[in-house]
Amino acid sequence: MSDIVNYVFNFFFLVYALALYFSYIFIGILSAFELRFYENKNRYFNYKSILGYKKLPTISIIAPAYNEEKTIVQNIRSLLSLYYPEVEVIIVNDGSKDNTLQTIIEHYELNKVEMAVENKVKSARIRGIYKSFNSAYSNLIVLDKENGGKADALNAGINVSRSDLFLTIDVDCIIEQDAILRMVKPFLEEEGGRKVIASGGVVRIANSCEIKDGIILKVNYPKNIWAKFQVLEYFRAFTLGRMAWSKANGLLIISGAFGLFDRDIVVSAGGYDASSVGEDLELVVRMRRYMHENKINKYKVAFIPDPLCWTEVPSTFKILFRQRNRWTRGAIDTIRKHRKMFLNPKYGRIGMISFPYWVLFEWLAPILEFIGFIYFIIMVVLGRIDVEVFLIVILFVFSFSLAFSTFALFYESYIFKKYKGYKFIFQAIFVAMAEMIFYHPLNVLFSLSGNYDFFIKKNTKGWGVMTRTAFDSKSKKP
Amino acid sequence: MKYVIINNLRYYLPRIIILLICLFLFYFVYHLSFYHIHIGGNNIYNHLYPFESKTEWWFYVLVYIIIISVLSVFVLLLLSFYFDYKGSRSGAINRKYELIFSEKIIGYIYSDRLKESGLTKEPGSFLKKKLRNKLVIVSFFSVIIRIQEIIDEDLSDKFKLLFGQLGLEKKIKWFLQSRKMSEKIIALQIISCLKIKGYRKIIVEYAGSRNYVLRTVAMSTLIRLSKTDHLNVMLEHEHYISKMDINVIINEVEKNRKADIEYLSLIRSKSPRIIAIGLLLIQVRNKAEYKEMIRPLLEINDAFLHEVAWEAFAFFAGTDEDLKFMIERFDSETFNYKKLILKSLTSFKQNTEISDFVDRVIKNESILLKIEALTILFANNVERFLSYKGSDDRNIAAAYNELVDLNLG
Repeated sequence: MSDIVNYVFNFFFLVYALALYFSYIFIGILSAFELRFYENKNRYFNYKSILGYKKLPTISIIAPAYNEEKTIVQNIRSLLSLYYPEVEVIIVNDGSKDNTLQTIIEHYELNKVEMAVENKVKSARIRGIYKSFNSAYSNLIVLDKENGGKADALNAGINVSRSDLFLTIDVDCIIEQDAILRMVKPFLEEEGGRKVIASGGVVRIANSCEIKDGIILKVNYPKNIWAKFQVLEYFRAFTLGRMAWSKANGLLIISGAFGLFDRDIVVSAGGYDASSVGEDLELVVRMRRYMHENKINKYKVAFIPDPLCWTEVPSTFKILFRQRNRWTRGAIDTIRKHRKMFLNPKYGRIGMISFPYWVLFEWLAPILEFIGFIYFIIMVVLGRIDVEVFLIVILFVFSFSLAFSTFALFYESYIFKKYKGYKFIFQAIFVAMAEMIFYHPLNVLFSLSGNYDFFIKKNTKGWGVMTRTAFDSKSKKP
Repeated sequence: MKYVIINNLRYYLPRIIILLICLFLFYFVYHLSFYHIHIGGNNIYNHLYPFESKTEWWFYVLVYIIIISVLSVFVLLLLSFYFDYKGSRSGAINRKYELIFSEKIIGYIYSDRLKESGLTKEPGSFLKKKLRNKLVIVSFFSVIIRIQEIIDEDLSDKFKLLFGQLGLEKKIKWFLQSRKMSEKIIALQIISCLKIKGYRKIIVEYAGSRNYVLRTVAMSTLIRLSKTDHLNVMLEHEHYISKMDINVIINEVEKNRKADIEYLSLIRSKSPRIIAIGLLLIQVRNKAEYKEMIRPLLEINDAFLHEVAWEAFAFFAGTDEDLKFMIERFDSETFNYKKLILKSLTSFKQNTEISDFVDRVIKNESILLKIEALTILFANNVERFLSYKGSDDRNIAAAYNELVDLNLG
């Protein structure tokens, strides 16, 4: 009997691992093709030429702000300086408890105005709308609303926006000045005659970078070990993962920190789900679901691999734990809400490939890894482990993972060139080795805690506290 | 032909080498399963055999992947170091040469005037010495393109002369036939900038390419080069014309003040996107004589064309008949077009027909359309606008207040 159980377990883990590693190989190949194509097509493209185009969509930048008084003035200045001919900046003060609103009012000479708002998507009550009569800030709108969370704030911004597209950003992010021009390009290109419903951009890590007046002066590899791990993680996730899914037109997530969306489609799909802590993933899945259910199959979710948005990532164990726990709960919530799509041919490759991939390799992978680990311990205790085979398998896992990380690192040096110098490459490769031993098991733990909180403690909505400091105040020379 | 062979060789050789290495490794790992390994007629004993003979087939697959992975790590690391070094070096070279080239080319362009003051010499021999590798040549091309974009004057003849002196025509051909899309693009850009004839066949081929990026650049090049071809001839291919293509084409036509456009054949095309180009050009060039052709185009079932056609119609509308048509069509249109109609009504001389229509919109339509309708009154009939002050309808009151707050502070 125990032999049969043993065989079933071994066979299951073998098949699962093979599928996982094949998916990585596939992601590597697809992303390589897509990155090469992207680099080639845009190398000599003058993005500023877009400014002179006759038929451009109008864009609203929507930035929710909660307790951001330290950084808000500088962040708004940075948003107002982005290149695009027809753009309005909508800052949503989501019931901040500090002086965020007062600080903006004073600095940007705002007055309370009456603005007609169509409540097309659900959001908490708007207490007031402010605009500046100083012509330098004429495209700035500030909403003051009751606290309802990030998704709710974005919905309020969507209701006020009257543009064709809207760009969501975290207000404390630093955005490259030509970011909108790059993000809007896929909407104009309509690759293969497909309507682009959203485009996502790469988020990079700003910890330890030199920043002045909302502009990155020098990109430095973070000094903090947690941030170092995340740099590699972001390289793999954005440069390889999302690029490959974009190539396959199966991208299911656009980072909440930076994404451009078709306003009409978002409104038709119902806007952000304020009950979800993974609102970015949930929205894209719902938009795709809407497109398929309305038989609009010729569409695309695009992805831009250029590093356009820089953000501060958690630099302590506690905050990282909260963030990853929340991501896991957000993913489970989305999977549960849209389980109808799982292996459903009605939803095309989303139903048959992307969504099942997300379920099997994003949500279940840490759980299965943990079960596998327990199984391994039991086998060790029972003396049923072949040490030589075990060593070979471990060597395989480590060498393959290291190669995958090195591949992402290579693309950084080959195409984007933001991190420079041999010192960075050496450090990054050592961190990649350490990651497998220290950081990866912790990530599994964070994910398990997210599952525990979601299913056992029924905590589906809590965000936890993310503390951040003003960029300029901490960006001293390394 | 020579270029094609060399380009193909450069493209395929590294790929063939990688494939051969992988096959060799596979061969090597396969031989691990034997007691003897025969290499070059020699018998080599496999000391790992006693261990391997007990293992299963998948062991060899794992070993193979481990070897490939470890090798990949080393190779990718070396390449990362190389590109990191190359990146910083080429960045510095680019900056240095772009400065030098800008200075020399500007000097060359204005040489007649500068010569008088004795400030410049012929740049040919100086530049020839510098233009020895691809990186520098590309940098030179980029500077030329940028200068032509900035300066309104047509400098193509002067640049052609300079290219002749420097012997760069061959390089253009080389880039144009490269396997790399980026090199084809820069070649097309420089051909377009210098208005070089002689590559028409290959450019036409690229303009019908399946690669949408290449297609866009090739089309814009054709527009700039062609004096006689009509736009619709260039656009009649099987591929989709994107919004990007449309914008690029309109810009190119405008920038080159292209006069030989057959508007009629554009708006009679079967393709809605080509019709849209025609309509946009009619609008940009203010060709009011084609106004009557626009109305039937509103019936074509294509969202983008419908939008462009309404914009064009609203742009030229001015007669009572136009007004009547717009008011009649209003109810059957969707939000965006209703908004367009209302926006265009601001420029009409106000009469009771408009006022009644505006009142109807204010009472029955959505809040954003109420705002547009009230804007017409705000601009032309303040008394009537003020009559909506303190309206019982919450939406009308909100729309009224917005206009007052935003316009009167």
